[in-house]
Amino acid sequence: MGENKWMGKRWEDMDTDVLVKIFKELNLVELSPVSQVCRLWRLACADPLIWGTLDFGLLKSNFIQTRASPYIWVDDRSDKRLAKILRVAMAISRGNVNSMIFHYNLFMKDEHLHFISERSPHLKRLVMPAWNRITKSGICQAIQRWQELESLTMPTIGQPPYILEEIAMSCKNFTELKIMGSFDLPFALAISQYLPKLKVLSLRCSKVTMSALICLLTSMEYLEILNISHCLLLDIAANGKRQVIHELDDQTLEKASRLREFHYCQSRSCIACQRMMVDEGIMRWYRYEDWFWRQDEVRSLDLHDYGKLFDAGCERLTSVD
Amino acid sequence: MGGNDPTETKRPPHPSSSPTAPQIPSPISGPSYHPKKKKPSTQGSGGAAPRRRGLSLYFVRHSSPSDAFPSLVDSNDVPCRPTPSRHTGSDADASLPVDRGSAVTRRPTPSGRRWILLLSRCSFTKQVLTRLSPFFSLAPGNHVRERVSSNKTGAISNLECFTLAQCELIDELCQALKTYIWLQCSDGSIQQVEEEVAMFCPMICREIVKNGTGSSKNHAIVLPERVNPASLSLILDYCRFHQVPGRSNKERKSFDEKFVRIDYEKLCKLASAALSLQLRPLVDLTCGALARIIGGKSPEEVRDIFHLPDDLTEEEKLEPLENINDDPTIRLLNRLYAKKRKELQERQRLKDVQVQEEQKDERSLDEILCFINGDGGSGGGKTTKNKKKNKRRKDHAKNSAKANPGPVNKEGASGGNSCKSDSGNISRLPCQSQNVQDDIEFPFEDCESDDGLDPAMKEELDREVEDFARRLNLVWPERMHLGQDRRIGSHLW
Repeated sequence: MGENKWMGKRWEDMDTDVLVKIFKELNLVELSPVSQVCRLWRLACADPLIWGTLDFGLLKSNFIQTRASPYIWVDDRSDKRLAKILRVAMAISRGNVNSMIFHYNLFMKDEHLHFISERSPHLKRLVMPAWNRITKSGICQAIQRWQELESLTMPTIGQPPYILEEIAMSCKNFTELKIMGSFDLPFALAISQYLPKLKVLSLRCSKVTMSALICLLTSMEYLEILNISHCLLLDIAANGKRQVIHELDDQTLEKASRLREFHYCQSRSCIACQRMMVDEGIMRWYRYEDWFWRQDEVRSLDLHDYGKLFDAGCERLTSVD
Repeated sequence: MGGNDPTETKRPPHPSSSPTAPQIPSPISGPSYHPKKKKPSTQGSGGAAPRRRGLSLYFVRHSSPSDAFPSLVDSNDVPCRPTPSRHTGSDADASLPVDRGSAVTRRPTPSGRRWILLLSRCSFTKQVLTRLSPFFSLAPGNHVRERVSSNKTGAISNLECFTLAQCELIDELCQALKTYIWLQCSDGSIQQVEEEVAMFCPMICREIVKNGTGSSKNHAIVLPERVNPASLSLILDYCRFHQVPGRSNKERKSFDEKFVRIDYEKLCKLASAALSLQLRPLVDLTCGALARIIGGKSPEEVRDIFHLPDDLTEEEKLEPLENINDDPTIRLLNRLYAKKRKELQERQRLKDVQVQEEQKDERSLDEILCFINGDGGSGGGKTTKNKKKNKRRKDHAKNSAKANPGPVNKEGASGGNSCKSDSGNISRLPCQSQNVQDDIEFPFEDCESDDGLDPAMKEELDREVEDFARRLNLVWPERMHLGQDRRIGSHLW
């Protein structure tokens, strides 16, 4: 709170500073009655300092995998619980959320997405690694509402061009993308077509084809930071044969040298790379530590700890078990 | 007298340039001894104490690299100003002049220079004793005799000291040798505080360093207006404790815990003051304590504790800020209750309008007719006027009307009673809520999305929504005011 010019501020303003500092220590469940106390407190509860990053990394769906699309079934109570939590969060925060982070096992539906996109119009960063139950139109509408979106972390989807197109149309400040899953040449082409001004791209722990990588390095002029750490690099030969590439050749490295930051694994001996090999290119995050999926070599993409708003205590209090 | 070693005959260095600043353990209020502390020595010249009967004070420069320990030696022969030429820090054993049977010997350590405090013939108060206890173990009785043998770190050696006659003298000396910073509170009162204590606070530190204020009464540092004298004294206590480097974490933690056990108002003021002084550790401490107090209490309890007004309107309280462990039945009842209340409000409003109208019977027929038409839809007129608002706020209306749980269970209970009589009227609502469960939770004002409702149901919904919107427009001006109150408010639906 270094902006305090202690000479000229009104008493009410100062009071709110202290209130905000206090409320920062509380989680969602505790903030709910606090916002009912009085008008001043309700306003202080909605302060952007508290809600800047809304990290739901501890919130997961109760789900099973199925054979038919969407391959995930979530029980109703889990959905309702998510709905409640989002409702409370959106109500107290009053649109001041800048960054929302969801777990890879949090399978939300269109309605949830709709809800949050309406009530956080100024969202700048979204981390949502699970799109199984979201429809095309659902995500497109949400993106249309998030015109200030700058950073997106998404899973690999079937036909990426439509979403990239949507982002290009609605989000003028979009600079940062992280893909979790796999990355092939059509995807790369779509990015270079629709998001030519992309600055930061992370493909960490994904399956990446060499042709896609080359495409990125040649056609993305504005790209500043590229992260292919722990990626399984595949080269698909003309006869369809796949071969894992363990070392980048000089030509690629030279192309990458113009980037401000190029993260890649020089040796295959790091733990994450070994895990990739074991999981055959599709990282099974659930097998590993809680924080493993949240890491990123790119500083702006790295997710730190879970924050106070939805902490372990809050998770316990809201559980439906 | 000690030998006059030529190398040791230098005068004491200028206070500001002394590399290792000696620290006089203040008997009463100052910080305790910390040997490694470096600060501009202000007591280098030391000769501040006047000569008094029965006691003279004398500074001896002693050679040691690290320890800084100002020394006073009882001696009638020695003038008050230090004249190291007389007393040297040589390696040779030098015994200092003493009188009246108080013998002081000291064996200086091989290297460096420092000040040694030797006290003799004073009745020690408890505080003085504790201050000096690291260096003196206390023998029973009034006399304090101690031999401190030299060790590798260069501690003072072979020191003997005795009770002094006047410890106020020492105190005065110490006070005179210390630097004080002058601070002015919000109420205009000026007080002085030891420099090292004040420097613990970043804002004051900055003021001293950058602006040079605080050195005298006339140039006192003006503290932010949130710092009242009571808070300031608490803050200074905090600083005084924590700026001592020699304390263990456990000690600090237990001090902190005890420190925040004050009543809530004081704690709030303290947090406020600490924030304005940018004293980060204290801010974290106080705000954490306050958060622990607030967390888990109901709104009424919090209002009682902090004497806050209950100034949220009923409708605002019913905004979708439910208790997260709420029971859906109670939520539904709250919703019905809220709706009922709105109906009553609406009826009241119409009554008021009617009362107004009765006074206007002088008007022409046309006007009356207009009025009648307007009245039948005076709600309607409002609708057309506020259609934009309605459209824009439809989702909010829907949201607060339908997903409208109250956090307090007792409301639901009483609401339940009043709703029973009206159940015929609003019996529609429950089954609607079943069908459009999702709708209640997540309003669907964009019809293009497939929400599973057939057009008839949708129409009903629309009507219902407009109804609510109209009623909510009663309290719309208030909400607008709420929105303009703060910079954040513009994000209201």
